[in-house]
Parts: sequence; structure tokens; C-alpha cells
Amino acid sequence: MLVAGVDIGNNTVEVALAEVSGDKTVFISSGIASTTGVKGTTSNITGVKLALDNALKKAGIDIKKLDLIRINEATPVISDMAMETITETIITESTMIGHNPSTPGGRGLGVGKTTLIFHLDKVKPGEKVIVIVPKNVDFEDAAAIINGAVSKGVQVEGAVVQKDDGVLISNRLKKKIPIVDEVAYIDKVPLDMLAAVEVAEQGYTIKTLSNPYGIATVFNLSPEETKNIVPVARALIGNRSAVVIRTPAGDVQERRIPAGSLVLFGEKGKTTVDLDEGAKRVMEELERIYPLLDAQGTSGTNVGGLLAKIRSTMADLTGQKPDSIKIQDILAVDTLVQQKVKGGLANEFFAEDAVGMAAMVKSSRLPMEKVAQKIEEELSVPVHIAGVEANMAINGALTTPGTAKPLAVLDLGGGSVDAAYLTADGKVKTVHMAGAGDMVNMLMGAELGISDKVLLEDLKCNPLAKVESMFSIRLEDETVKFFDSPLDPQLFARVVILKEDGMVPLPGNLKLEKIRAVRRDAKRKVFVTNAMRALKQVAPAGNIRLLDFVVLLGGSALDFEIPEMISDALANYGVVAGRGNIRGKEGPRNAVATGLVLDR
Amino acid sequence: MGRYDVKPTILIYCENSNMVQIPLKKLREGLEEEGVPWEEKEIQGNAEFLAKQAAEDSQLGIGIGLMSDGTCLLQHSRMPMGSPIMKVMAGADTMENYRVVGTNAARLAKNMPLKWF
Repeated sequence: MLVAGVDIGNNTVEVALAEVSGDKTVFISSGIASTTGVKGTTSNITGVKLALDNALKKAGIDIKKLDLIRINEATPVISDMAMETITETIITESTMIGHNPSTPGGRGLGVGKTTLIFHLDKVKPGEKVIVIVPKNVDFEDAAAIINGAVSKGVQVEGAVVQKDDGVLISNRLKKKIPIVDEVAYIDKVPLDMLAAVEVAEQGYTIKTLSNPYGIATVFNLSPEETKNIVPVARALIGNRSAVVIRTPAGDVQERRIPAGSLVLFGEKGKTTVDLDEGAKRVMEELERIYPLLDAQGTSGTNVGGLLAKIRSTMADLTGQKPDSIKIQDILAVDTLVQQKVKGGLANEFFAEDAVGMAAMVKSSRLPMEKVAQKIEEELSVPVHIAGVEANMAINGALTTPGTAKPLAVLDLGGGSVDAAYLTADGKVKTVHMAGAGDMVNMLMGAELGISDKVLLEDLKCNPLAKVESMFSIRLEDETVKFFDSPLDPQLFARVVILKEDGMVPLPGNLKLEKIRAVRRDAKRKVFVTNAMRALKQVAPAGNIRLLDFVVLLGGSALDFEIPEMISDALANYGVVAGRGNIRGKEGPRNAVATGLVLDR
Repeated sequence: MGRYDVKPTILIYCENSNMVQIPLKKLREGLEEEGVPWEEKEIQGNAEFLAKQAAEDSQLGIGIGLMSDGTCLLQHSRMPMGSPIMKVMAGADTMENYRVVGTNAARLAKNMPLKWF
């Protein structure tokens, strides 16, 4: 009898095709396709068909020969996530330019009134000015005008230039001044205001404007005003050049948004956590009252908004009322969000504190019967709903060479991390944790300031390299790789993503070390945390040490570093953990589909 | 003169500097803004030859060939003749393109990402 096991997952449909006769099962081929529509709905059919076709084609078998399809009773778990910042920096009037042009001119610190270059002839001798040079002024003219003013006795202390002309102007001046160039929104620079321009020596960073007391000295600030300028100083740390402009009404505020508190209802009682205390505290409290029955946030605050967002998405998916959605797990993670400064002049970004949160809901049983019926109608092949997803996953995982009962599996997916434990006498315990691959993308996107979803996925799944010459790249592990033919000049000196089908250059000035650190941190915060939480729930007596084998399954188990991170963390408990290898050849994929075929 | 007596510079070889004063000026601007030294010389030949020869002769391995009609090639010594890093055709839309070539010649030497038109 020709049997196909079909596993409809959140992101992929997997198929295992086998010839079953009596006790003997011979696997023929496997298939995979993207899930179409939300898991458990009839729009899954297209994906199921594609996955089946994929498997049948490999085996060279016609679909008419298929005797039986077994599909899983999908775990009715849906997860979602959201992120809210808990601080916000607002510059009420344009007061700073904190960007890093690659070639600023001159060096030192200059303080004076901002004056448009066309008005320089009206400035009285002895007055201190900062010259503003828009892009329609040629560098030679600019230098000539400034030299003329200086010879009349005007003290030109610094310049802010729109074009990339800093060095060119500087080289033509009789008296050297600091020049910041490539200021895109130069028309927004307020005129007749006291300003300070600072450019550091090559290889150094600015000293005065990145120090609150330095700014206080330059502008004669009161202690109260000095407090307000702290975010500006903080934002300028590490720059080679900067401009700070003092406008009378101008002020920078760092506003702390009331993050609100989270009320957790658990089987062991109720607890309230203030989100200001950080994600770590939330997770500690959650563990204390686990299992979670529901979670609520103070309305009108960020947590309230965050949970409301998640609830309404869930309600849309399940067709239930938002009020009746009960949140059964949350994962809170502290993070930083790159946000554009309101009122900045050169696209400055600030890193704001934020909390990212994933939540999981168990809805009423997903209507798999409907899906089964629809498949039967469309393909004219009998369809059976066989067993619970977790049991099937364990059945499949046991085909990994070197495993034995009792066994735990960790399914690392896109939306949730699921664990199941099979005792020696055949009992299965399962648990679902909110937050997985999708949350890693969200955290990386926020911290790196990237919103392109495809780019984020690439950044998550592939290592990086830096192109060092026309013929060589340096990889993350500091090794160098040479090429026979020259690389595309577009890639020159850039950080690139090493994909199987080539190198993708990254936009902007993102540093390799920074991306790598953010990527690994996000993976650890989500997957290692959830792996530990999940295993604690299913392990005998809640003790991870009592587990012998842990098999990692699911799409995220294919990642090039997540399995190692989890194995590493579990090694401390004396547990053997590793990526599964279903049927000794499928890797961590196809466990449920294989389990479905093997199910008796 | 030994090889270490030669100053490391980017070389600009042009057919006739009088014919291409504005492109030449723009090339210089790009190089100066990036702070990389250069030298200029007049030699005869086609664009590919000028650029390749300039790159070969440059201690930095970076050369620019500039024809009297305005054709301009940025060449790296390790790239074969006829495979320039960048090219400005005769009758370019804007003279600023020559400045980008100058900037990129300097950035090649400094190992920095290139600019594009």
C-alpha cells in the first residue's frame, strides 16, 4: 500500500512517501512546499498538492497510485509578537547634526553664530561666526569668500557644508577651521544661532561635543540645561565630527513613556510586573506562577497596546472575540530600537530602549476535518487524520540514528518552540513556547534599523564577510578566501551576506561585528531561552538533568548556529543534544510526516 | 631609481590635458577631497591602453585613462585591459561623473565602498 504522510506546518508542508506492507515500511521519497494560507484552513490545499507532487515526481509515481494520505491533527497553537519602545528622544527644535561624513575638513572646535555664506560681507569685524554653505556654492568660491571675510577681521570659526567638499574648502583656506560636510538638510539649520562645530583628528573621535560638560562649557549652560543636553552628547559619542546648535527654545527631551504593568494570571496565583523593571523580571515572575492562564496589560499604556495588538491578530485568525482570547505563554525580551530622531538634520538615529514580546494562544481545535475532506474531494485519495502532532514528531525523531526512548524533541519553528517528551513506558508530554524564528527577525530588524523582510531573513540565515580587495574576502572567523576572477566592483570594501547563490552587499554603514553580535544575541535570547523553558516543563520532575537525549527538529534547526547554541547550553546539564537526522538522511525536517507514515 | 623611491600615487594618463580641462579638474577634486595623492602625464594610445598603463605604472595599482573626447576609464592593475572598474563615456550627462571617478579611484586605494552615479 502506498502511503503519504502529510504534515501541514506554519511555514511548510512536508510529505513522506512510503510503501507499507504488513510490518514492513519502505520509504520512497520526501517532498516539501510552502504552506498556503493559515495552517488548518482549507486554503492549505494548494500547498499540500505541491508538496505531494514534489514527492511523487521524485519517485516517478502517479498520484492515482496513492492509496492513503495521513495528515496530522495540527496543534492549535498560534503565536504573534509585537514591540513597543519605552523611551523616546525628541529634539523639539533642530539642535544637532551628529553624522559621520567620511571626509570632514580641518580639525578642532569652533564656536560662533550660524551665518549664511552670502551674508558674510555684512558681518562686523571681530564677530565670531559659523559659515553655512549650501550646495549651489562652488568650493572655490566658498573658500574665496571665507578668506575675504577673514582678511577683513571677521572670525570665521567653522563651517557646515552641504556637498562633500569639506577637504577641498579646507585645503584652500588661509586659516584652518573645522568643517562638517554632507549635511543633507542644510536649509533646516537655524541662522543667527550660537553653534559649535567640532572635527577630530583622523583616527580620533570628538571630545567636547560628546561630553555634556563640554557642551555646557561651550554654551554656558545651567545645571538644569546640562541635564537636558545629555541625550545630544550621548548621540554624538564615537563620531569624528559634529555640530550642535543652540536655539533659544530648542531643547532635547528624553521622554520615558509609561510602559505600564503586566498582570499575569497563573495556576499558582496572580502577579503584577512593571515593564520598567525589564524583560528579565517579567520572565522570572512568569516562571513563578506558570502555567499561565491569561495575561493582561494596563490599558492606555504600551503593554496594554502591545497585548491588544496580539489579541486582535489572534481574533482575526481564529474567528473568536478578542476578549475571549486567553494568552497562554509570553516571551519578553529587552532590546534596543534604532529610531530616527525627531528633529535631526542629517538622518540621525537614537537607540531607544524597548521590550519585544511574543504571545501564544491555544485556540479551539483547528478544523482539520474540513481540510481532510477537501483534500479527499480534490485528489480522490482517502485521507485519515492520524495522531497528535507531538507524538508524530517523536515517532519521526526516533528514526534518527543513535536515539532511544526516553527521548525529548525540541521543534524549533517560525512562531513557537515546541517540546515533547516520551517516557520509557510510552507516555508523551508536550508544551508550546511563544517566540521563535519570526521573533529573531523582529529583534534583529529593530536593533539594526532594517525593515526589509527579505534582507532580515538573509541576515539571520547566512554568515557575513567583508570584501577586502578585488580578489579576496575576510569571513566572520577572520579567515580569508581568495577568488580566481575579480569580484563585482559593487561589492568592493562592503560587508556582504554569503548566500549559496552569491554575495549580497549590505546597504549603509553597518559593521560586520555589530550585525554578528546582534544576530547571535537575538538567537540566544529567543531560542536558548525558550529551549530551556520548554525542556524544564516536559522533563521528569522539571529537571533538565534527567533528560538523556534531546533531538532538535524544525526549520530553525537547519540554522547554521542555533543548534550549536542550544547544544552548548544543554551540555552544562549533561544532556546529549543535536540536530535530528530523520531516517538517517532527511536532517531535522520531515519528522512529523515520517511519524505519520509509521503510525499504527 | 628603485621601486621604493617612487611615491605611491594614483596616475592619471591623458591624451592632451588642454582638451579636457574640466573633466581633469573634476577628477582632481574627487581625489583631493578623499586625500589621496595623484600624478598626471600625457601619453598616446586608446582609452583602454591609457588606463591599463596608468594602473601598471602606479605604485597603488590604480590608474585613470582620459581621452580628448572625454572618455574616461578607471582601471585596477590586477584587472585585465578592457575591464575597467568604472567608465565615463564621451559626452557625459554631467561633469560630476568625473568627480565620482576621482572619488572612487581614491576609495579603491583606501579600501572604502565606492560611490555610484
